[in-house]
Amino acid sequence: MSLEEYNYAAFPPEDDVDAFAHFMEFLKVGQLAPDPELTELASGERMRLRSLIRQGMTIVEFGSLT
Amino acid sequence: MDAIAESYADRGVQSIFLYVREAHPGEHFPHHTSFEQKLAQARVFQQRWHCQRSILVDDLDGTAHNAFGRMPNMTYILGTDHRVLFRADWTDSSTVQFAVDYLLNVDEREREGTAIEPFYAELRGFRWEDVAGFAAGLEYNGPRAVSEFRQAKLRWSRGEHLGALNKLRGRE
Repeated sequence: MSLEEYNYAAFPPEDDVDAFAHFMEFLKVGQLAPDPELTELASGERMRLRSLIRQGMTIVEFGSLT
Repeated sequence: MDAIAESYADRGVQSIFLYVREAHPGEHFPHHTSFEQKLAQARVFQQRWHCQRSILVDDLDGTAHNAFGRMPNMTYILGTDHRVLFRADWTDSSTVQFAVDYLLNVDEREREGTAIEPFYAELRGFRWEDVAGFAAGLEYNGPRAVSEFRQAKLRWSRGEHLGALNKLRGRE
């Protein structure tokens, strides 16, 4: 998927159909989660998701302003 | 979700907001064309919703978003071993709280010496739909976001785009 396709300018994105269709079969409970590199908004530092998980469980909500 | 983050922080539960692509871009907050713009819109999000959680921003390509399933407002709960404990394709705070309470109870029973064995389970989630709040959000994004969502709903009602899938899964 190109950068322009991922960051679609007009709703709805065509790739939504694929995402909605496959989510139930994707990354099941019990499996190891991906460990992407992310930017902390407050500090601007780049860090791995796993490095943030210290003790107990971690709730990760995905979303945006819009 | 911020209320859950605050309520459970002293029980060792961490909460993160992972900022991804704009779901309903509009004239006021368009789709991302640079990482700096994505950071700027994440800051607006933080201020608008007084988000107290740590905000992590995905890269412009959506690497993290794609790796977790690319749903616009999904939630995962991860364990200390980084394994998935709970996942939902939409975020509903009462459902998340239900899962957190369940998982904390498991931890407590384990500490008390109860023999615990993991197993696979699924649950059909039901979320409270804030119709007025969602409409206000679209207006905040700009008139284009309002009209595009209206057009998308028409397509779905005709069975196009997500329409067929919604019907198949009882989400009409």
